[in-house]
Amino acid sequence: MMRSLLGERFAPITSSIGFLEKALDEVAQGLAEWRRSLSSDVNVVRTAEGFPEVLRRLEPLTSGARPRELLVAFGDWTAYFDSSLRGTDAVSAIGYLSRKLQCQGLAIRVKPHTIGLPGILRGRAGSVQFELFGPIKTTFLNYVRTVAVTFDGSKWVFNTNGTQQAFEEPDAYRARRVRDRFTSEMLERYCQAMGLDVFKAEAYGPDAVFFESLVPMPADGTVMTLTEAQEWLEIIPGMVDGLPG
Amino acid sequence: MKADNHRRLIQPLLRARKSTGLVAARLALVSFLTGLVVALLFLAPPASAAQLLHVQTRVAAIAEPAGQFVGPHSSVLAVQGRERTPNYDQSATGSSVAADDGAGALARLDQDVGVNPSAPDALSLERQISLSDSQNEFLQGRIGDLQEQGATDFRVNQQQVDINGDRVGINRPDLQYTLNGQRFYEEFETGSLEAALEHGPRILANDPSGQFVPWFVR
Repeated sequence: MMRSLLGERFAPITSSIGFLEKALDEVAQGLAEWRRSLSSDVNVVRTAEGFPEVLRRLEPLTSGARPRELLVAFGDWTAYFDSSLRGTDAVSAIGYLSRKLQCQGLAIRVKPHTIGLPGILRGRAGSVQFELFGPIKTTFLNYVRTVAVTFDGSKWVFNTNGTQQAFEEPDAYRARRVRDRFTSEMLERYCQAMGLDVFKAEAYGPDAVFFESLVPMPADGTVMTLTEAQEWLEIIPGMVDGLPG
Repeated sequence: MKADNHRRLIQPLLRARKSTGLVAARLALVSFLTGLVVALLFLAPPASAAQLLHVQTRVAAIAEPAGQFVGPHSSVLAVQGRERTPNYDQSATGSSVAADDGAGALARLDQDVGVNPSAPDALSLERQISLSDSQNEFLQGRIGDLQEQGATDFRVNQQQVDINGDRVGINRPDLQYTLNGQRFYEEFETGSLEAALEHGPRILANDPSGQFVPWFVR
């Protein structure tokens, strides 16, 4: 069955999560510097209101801009979320910050495949992605390893890039069904091997740092509350637990 | 109208030849030539995208219409006008093009109109856009620089998705991203800038509010 954080109660925010192997304060300082280099007005608030409630600070969710971001303590690492309407864009932020902060970074995405399910109008294309970044340049930017299974609109696509890690399960990559080659359970085990229990809500927080930046908003952009976004994207909390992937 | 203008401009010269001597004729000639220059300035059609981009493109250049050369040591990037990062190790020419809001805009293709707006997730950005090393290396440098500028929602060689994340076409721009509240689509070609420009009409027909950035990568 598909693994997820909090049974998608806070999806799409939690459909994708970024991680940096640095303490919360170090990451907060780096993100603040970066944001202040891009925006004239950046508000930074440290909070300990607890996880997952702190995710509510990211509302409303927006398309075409990410004015709100959240860093949450995660052991020796720091987790990253943003206010993107379609889900956190972890790759853009983590890819750059792992270079800037000279640390390891990870971006994961877990989204159930709901296209064609009874009662679902449009549905969501499923995806399980694991993208590991390093502090230095590799053959492609600072990408270290990518393992992903994604429904591309017409078929399932499996791809790997970079250096295979010791904790991987390469036998599974030869599975007959493409979507079985990399599952959310495999992703969970890969992350656990790195010391990250990514689907365990208790591992997050309570310390967090909230960022709000003055950024240009698109004229034709969409703004929604989390509840509205879930209705629009047909996200039904809890449903994911009974789906394959 | 052009004939009237021509008659009006040549009248001083004709009058001079009839009634006065050589000095007056010379003055009239100067007057005529001055008028001709002014007429050319005001009567000539304004520079337009159609002239620049030839018949089939029909898009309006909004910046650097002739393309900006971005050599290995150039310090300013096309479009953003920001200093480039050292990771650009390829020569390239680029310009920024936006949709023409006039009647010349290309109609969307049937296969794009009929596309399901529900878009799949972005695939890994490591996807190659061609067999050309120079194109792939330029793409890599471009993504790194844009990430630093705060760009989001990147897609490489995937079907076109607009700023709201809706799929708007089955065409696959080399690079898509959102920056400063604007959706950008970029094409990289090793043949010529014109080859890159040819992708513009379809991209902008699918997303008239987007920006198209063609690149000639050497």
